[in-house]
Amino acid sequence: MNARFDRAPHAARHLALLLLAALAPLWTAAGARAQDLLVQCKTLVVAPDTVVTPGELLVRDGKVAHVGPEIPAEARTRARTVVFADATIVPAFVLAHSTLGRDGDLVERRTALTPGLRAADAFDPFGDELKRLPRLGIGSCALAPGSGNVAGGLAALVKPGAAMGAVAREASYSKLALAAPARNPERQPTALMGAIDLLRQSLRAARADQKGDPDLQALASVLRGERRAFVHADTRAEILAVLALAKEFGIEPVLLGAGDATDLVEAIAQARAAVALWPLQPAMRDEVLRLPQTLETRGVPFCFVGEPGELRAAAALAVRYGTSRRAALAAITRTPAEFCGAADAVGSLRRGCDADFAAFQGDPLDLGSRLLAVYVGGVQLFGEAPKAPPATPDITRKDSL
Amino acid sequence: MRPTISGPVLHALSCALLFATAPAQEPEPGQAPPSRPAGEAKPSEDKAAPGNAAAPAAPRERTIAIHAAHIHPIAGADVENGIVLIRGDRIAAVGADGAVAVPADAETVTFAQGHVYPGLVDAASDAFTDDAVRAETLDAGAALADGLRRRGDREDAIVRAGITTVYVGGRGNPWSGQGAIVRPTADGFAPFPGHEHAAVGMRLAAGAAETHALQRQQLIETVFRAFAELDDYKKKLDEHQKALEKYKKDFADYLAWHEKKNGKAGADKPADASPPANAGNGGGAREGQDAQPGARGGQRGGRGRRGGGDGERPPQTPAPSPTPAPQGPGDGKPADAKPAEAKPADKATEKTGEKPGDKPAEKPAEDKAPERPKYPKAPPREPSKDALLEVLDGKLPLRVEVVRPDEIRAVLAAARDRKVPSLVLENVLGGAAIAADLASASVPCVLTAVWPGTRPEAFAAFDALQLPSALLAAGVPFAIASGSGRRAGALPLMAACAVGAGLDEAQALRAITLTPAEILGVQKDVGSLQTGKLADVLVCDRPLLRSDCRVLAVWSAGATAYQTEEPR
Amino acid sequence: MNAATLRSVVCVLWMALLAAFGSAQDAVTVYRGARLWPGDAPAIEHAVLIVAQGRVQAVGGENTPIPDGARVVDVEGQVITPGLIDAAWNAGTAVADANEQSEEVTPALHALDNLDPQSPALLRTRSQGVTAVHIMPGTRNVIGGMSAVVKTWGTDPASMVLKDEAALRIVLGAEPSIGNMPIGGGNADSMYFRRPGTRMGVIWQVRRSFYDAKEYLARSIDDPKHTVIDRDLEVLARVLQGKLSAVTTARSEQDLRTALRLAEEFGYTPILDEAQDAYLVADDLHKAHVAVMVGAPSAERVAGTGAADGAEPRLATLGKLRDAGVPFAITTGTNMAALDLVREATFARRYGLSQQEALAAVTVQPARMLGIGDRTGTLQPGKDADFVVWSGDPFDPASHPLTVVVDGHDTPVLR
Repeated sequence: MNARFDRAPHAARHLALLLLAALAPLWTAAGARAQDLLVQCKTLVVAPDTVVTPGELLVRDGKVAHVGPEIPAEARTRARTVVFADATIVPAFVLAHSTLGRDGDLVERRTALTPGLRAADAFDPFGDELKRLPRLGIGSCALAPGSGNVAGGLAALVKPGAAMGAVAREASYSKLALAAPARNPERQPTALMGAIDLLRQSLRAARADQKGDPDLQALASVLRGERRAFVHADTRAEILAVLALAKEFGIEPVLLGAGDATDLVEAIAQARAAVALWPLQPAMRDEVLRLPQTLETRGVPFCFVGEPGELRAAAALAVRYGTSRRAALAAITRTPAEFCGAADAVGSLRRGCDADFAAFQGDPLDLGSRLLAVYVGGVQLFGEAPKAPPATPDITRKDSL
Repeated sequence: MRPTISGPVLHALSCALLFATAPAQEPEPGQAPPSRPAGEAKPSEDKAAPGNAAAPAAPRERTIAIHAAHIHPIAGADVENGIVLIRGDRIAAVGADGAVAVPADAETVTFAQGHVYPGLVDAASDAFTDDAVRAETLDAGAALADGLRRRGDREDAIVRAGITTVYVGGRGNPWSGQGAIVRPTADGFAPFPGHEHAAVGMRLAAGAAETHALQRQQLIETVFRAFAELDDYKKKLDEHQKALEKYKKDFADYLAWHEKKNGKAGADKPADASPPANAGNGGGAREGQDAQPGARGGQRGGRGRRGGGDGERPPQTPAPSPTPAPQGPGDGKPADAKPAEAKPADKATEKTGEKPGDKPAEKPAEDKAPERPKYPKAPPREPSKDALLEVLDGKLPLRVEVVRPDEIRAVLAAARDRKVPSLVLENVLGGAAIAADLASASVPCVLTAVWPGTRPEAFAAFDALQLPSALLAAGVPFAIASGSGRRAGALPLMAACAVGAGLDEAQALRAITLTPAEILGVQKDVGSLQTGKLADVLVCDRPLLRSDCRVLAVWSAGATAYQTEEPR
Repeated sequence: MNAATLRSVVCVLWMALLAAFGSAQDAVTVYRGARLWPGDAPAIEHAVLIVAQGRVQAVGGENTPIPDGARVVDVEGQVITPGLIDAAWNAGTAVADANEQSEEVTPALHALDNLDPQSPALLRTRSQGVTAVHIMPGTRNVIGGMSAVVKTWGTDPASMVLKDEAALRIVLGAEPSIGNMPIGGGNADSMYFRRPGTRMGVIWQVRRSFYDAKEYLARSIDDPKHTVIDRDLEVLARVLQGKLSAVTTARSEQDLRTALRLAEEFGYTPILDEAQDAYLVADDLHKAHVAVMVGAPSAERVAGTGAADGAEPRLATLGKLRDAGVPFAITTGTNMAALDLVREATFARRYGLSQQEALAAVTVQPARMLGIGDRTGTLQPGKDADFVVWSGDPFDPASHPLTVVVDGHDTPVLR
């Protein structure tokens, strides 16, 4: 190249230089930033109590840059537009507790106390279960240690991706358990009394810890209020024990399971605890199906967790049995995000949140609404490519499906 | 200083005051007061005012006019601002406000925003059965209708969810008994007349366990072999039937002969007071008089007659007819024309001694009396085989619960081989893959698994939500059913799931109303809002498939089965 | 005016009147006309029982003055007794939850953790006239943990607790040693393959634990800053210092004598539980000033390991305890064949106890033994209003509880 350049006449060299100069901005632009995405739809649910109609969302660098009328005009023109006519766009669902099919790797069987272990270490970015999440409208999921330990470890917020998944938050919350799976005849604790005692001793030790023991530090961060604790408690005795521990140590736990909580809603509300319910199923008893409504009336924050496939159906069943649509949608978007300590990033579509959203042909809580598309981090992971108005060809990015 | 009236007394006073001032019931907004023509008092009108859920009046020609904003008859176009007119227990008319003539004595109920649907039909359920039926091995002859009972609150919720017709099946393995169609009510259920035995059910055992496909097919073959073993049984039954015909004919001839004969020697009969005990003798003392086969039943001889003392009808076979006694031919054994007055009754003690050899000697040389016909012994009946025969005759459908595609294919083949005329498949989770085969065999399907959720590993590949659309595309008639009494309340949500996966909404509604009625064979009476069908009406406050739909009222055969107390 | 307006006016008036007269909760309730057994005194005919704010305000005969404005409940012909107290209640908790089996000696655990306030067992027990129960850890551990006394009903779970850490449970006999085999004949690594495997081993375990506690106490005198705290030994030390009761479960005569011997050796006073053979050692019990809770006296077979525990039930044993001057209570205990508490007391009454003694054995005696006598167990002014209105003499098999009152509240019971 240089030889030719040298041999070229001056005019040609100047032309070449000019050409380079002209093309340079294009290259720098391509290298510097991907094109913005302007999403238009009929209804945009930014958060369950903030709805924008007609909906418009500007995505930049995988995050929500502007919503609705605030979108600056010049950004509109520069952005690539996709239109979901007549669709409702909601934040992608957040699943606040799951093992993503990796049960075996998430329960350390020999000993019941492993608070310092991190589920992020067991994360498989190429897992099948993870890939299935967008198909169900789920944009992020907390991979949690199983309930086979009294203190299982720290859960991680993970997200599916186009090629592979990624960990969004390394240590989202601390997983504890008093329920039957944590009690094991082969090792301590075998009985509920023993499990409660073990947990109490650990929390006391964490409170007194000066040396920074990593196991105890994980629990100490819960005591300091830096992250929440999900405690698996199914029966009334277990729930009461969690509330007693919460009072003793001044924490606001999230009760995981809590199927028997119907009589204890008042006690839960007074302890300022929250509830993460296993998914509602049609065969459950009426009082369990109405539990979300009771929790909503009493002001107890709750979310749904469990198998990814049942999440949306659980919210729909809750609506059928008395929960308001607003609370049911919050239970699968904003509230689980809060429990995971990631409310600034997922669970809603405010400015600065990750661009994780799902487009439905109608209200997502009506099971008859078809899921059209799911975007995570501004990248479409499910659905057909929507009809875009004719626009400048996208030379920088290819959306993968 | 405390006033003298105490708290409780005051409380009682004020309660009395409140009740005194309260009207008997709140009139529903917008509803015309029940109108009665001046001179004509209908007996049950007064206590059957709408809004009073406690008085489901008998539908004795009660006329009800239901006005609503949206009517979905399922068979036909939707009607906006229409009326459903009920007379007695049937629908009299469905149409727009102006098009339907409402008689003056009709009770009117108005639902300003309501959506009216026909009562839903749940084509597969285990409601009203008890755990024994659910767990145990039944055979094809066990009729569930004999053992149904109301078990608890969950079953009251069935009619409150708008379901007015339910098929109830057992859970046995491989045979699950004969299902029944019932009508759920607010406090239990009522049988559907004529459909207590609605189908013979089968449930294949493979389940979610890891088994080889060949094993499963062998299992299916083994179960269907039951149809082959019927041939012997059927042959015996047919033979018995023929023998019965022949017996009838022969006995008629026999009687006729004796009547004729005794018509000649009428007065010769000895006044024998002791007719033979053998019912077969019957005519003995009074030949020709009460010659009916049954009448002899009560005669009992005191002479030590042998046999037949039980007076059982039909008379048992070669009973040694005792007393050759007074009557001529009265006896079973080579009934011969003994002269009527030949022997005195004292000879009762004669036993079976009448040998064939004796008679001919005494027989006068008349025309030989016809041999006394023997009642043919009935073959032992087996209810299960009877049920299978009814299946083969097409009187009962065969319902098979089956999941995997290879199992479905094997069942279709086996049913075809055994010439089962009417087959219905249940569950059919793996049906999408062989929808074409189902279509060509014209086998309707009752889908019980239409709900998102974890499935066992073995079934993970089958998409329950896509199944209805796949079957629709192939032209297979299908119904969406709850599969369990406890899940019945979510039936509309199951239909909604199917819509979410691409099924057309009208088809989804049909799959929980008219199509299951057709599959159950009761489409003449239920399944849609059409004149002449039973008045099963469901009213909701918004479209049925929406998650927050609330049921406002349910009528079952014209009687109010449920009415909400909440304000509309 | 139309109906709606009239109703609103009446409602407003009603609210005003209510405010003037005070709400129903502060109302005083008077139960008048029944025969009343205060628990530690003879019966009062046509008694008047005045209850206010969850406590007994007054108890007296028919001429007791009744405050104005009180709600009067006529219980003529019926019988009122203090609410029964079951000092060894079988909660129906699964064995796996009642015993923390990772170790044999777990003194620091709390049986209160197993309380399910809505459990059907609690409802059934309350419906049988029992207003307070003593929940203990199971019998598979030598020293299983600390028991608690709870009421059978409460407005919220916290209000049900009468006494947490009521007593330490020690179990003698064959029960704690069974099951100390590896599961399914498994490897010797299992935590179950441990001492004790025999009755001797059980006693050894108790002595070892108390010995360690004594050492610990001695050491802590030299260690005023308490830098080394062992929770388990702390609890045992409290027993040795007399600050915590010890309930020793022993059935056969041999085990009872051993229990007395252990107590004498380490200087604490036990309460003996189950104790079917107590009548055989009545004099020793009297000399040691030991109280006894007799479990299911009506049962034909003794619970526990049956033959290995060897106690033979006899019918008139409680009379012998009374004659020897040993304080005793009647409980239902661990025996699955136990009748409900009042029927057990009826059985005892039939076989030698007087009405007063039988009633005391299920009311005031267990209250004293468990240390809740200041709050319940008898009907005296100032005590909690826990009582039962029976349809007739409680020891008449045909009578049943009509009303069970806890803390002055009429509690829901099975009918």
